[in-house]
Amino acid sequence: MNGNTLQIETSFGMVRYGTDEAGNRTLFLQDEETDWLQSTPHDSGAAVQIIVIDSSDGSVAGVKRFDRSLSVYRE
Amino acid sequence: MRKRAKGLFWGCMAAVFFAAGIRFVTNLTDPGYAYSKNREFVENSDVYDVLFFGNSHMANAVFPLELWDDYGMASYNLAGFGLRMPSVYWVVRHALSESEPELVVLDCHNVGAEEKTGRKEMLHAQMDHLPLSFDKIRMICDLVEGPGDRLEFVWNFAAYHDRWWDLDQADFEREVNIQKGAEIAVDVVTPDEMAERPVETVDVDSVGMEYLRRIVEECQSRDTEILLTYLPFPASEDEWAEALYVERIAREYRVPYVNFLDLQVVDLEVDCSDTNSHLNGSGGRKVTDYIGQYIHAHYEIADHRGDGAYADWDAAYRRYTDYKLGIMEQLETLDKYLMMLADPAFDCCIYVDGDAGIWQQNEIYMSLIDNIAGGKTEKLGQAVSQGDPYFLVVESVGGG
Repeated sequence: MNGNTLQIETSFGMVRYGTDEAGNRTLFLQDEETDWLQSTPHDSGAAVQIIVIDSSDGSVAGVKRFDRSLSVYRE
Repeated sequence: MRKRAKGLFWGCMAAVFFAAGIRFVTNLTDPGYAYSKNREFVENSDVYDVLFFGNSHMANAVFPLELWDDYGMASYNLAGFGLRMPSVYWVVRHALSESEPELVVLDCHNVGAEEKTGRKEMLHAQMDHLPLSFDKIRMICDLVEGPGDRLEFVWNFAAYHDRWWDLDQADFEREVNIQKGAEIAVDVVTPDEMAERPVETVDVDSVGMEYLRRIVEECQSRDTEILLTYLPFPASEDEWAEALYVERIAREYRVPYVNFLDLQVVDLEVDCSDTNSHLNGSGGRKVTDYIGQYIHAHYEIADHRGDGAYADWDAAYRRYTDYKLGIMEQLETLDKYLMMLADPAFDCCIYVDGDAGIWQQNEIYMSLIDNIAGGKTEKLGQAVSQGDPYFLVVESVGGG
């Protein structure tokens, strides 16, 4: 991961927003068990990126991203 | 003699097969909503300490499994869509004959109405699952005026026999409501204007009021506590009038009443699922939270968490959380997704690209993000006005 611009330590892991190896701007999450989880693995330019955490156990419960028309991305 | 006995035997067998066939087609053609919504209550009605009644306002506003997670409260939402107060009276009466709750919570929306029932489909949805009994016959005779219209409520095949061509997979799978009778609404709609609060309380004399009295008296005759509510929504002048008049009824019977129209529990800008009445999931969670705190403070309702007899409630809460995540996975618009994220069951990280211009597309996105963070969004205004990127992490206190 290169060019991280934001980073914050949370109870459910380290959250970063930065640029991945392919140059895409991506939201990342790293917890104790996984390597960096990327919210937008195949795309750049998402308008809104969201990682949802189950607050009962801190696990990742969902990942969602919306394009500039604010429709959900389709893989 | 032997021939007659043989004839009698085959006659009986034919009658049994005929009855079984009728029962099968009756069940098959029944759309099953009533069965789905209240099956858990019907099959295990004696475990509930708190029961919620009313119409769709209540069905969309109080989530029993949130009350379980917060207080260990065993409750069920028996509210029905489109029900008028006379119909609610019979639902309450039937529920109290099947269970012994500590507390009944009744929402009084539409208590000023004169009619006994709304659309008959709505009445079917609340009645079809009840077994035929003397009380059910009394209910049908009271609610359905035309004798010719009553048959379909006694034997619902009369209403659904022409559904043959509409049968689909769902008719064979029979999904069951896993929200303990509640229903989360997922739309986000800018509501109508709320009418101004009237200065004076005017008399509201209606059939609905008569049945409200009967419900209160029914509860009091059984020594069951009753709490009246008027849940929040953008009320009209007439609805304000009935909300204020219920306060008089509450005083007369010395029962508590929470008029949410006078409280700032929800934010109608983000918490409505349609223009004039119903709350979405975010609004419902706020109302549930408020009612949970109110009940916890004013009643001695048992906390069943850790009680072996209620061990399956933790699994039910897990299924409920997974159900919400399943809804979110299916959502395709940002406004609904952000609304569903305003939920203490979930933490989240949100990144908004400053160049994407989402704030200009719809002002509600700002309010919805503010709603997720409970108003703790000091830098949101700056990001919106300057087009900066915005990064939000919502983390539960003590969670994770």
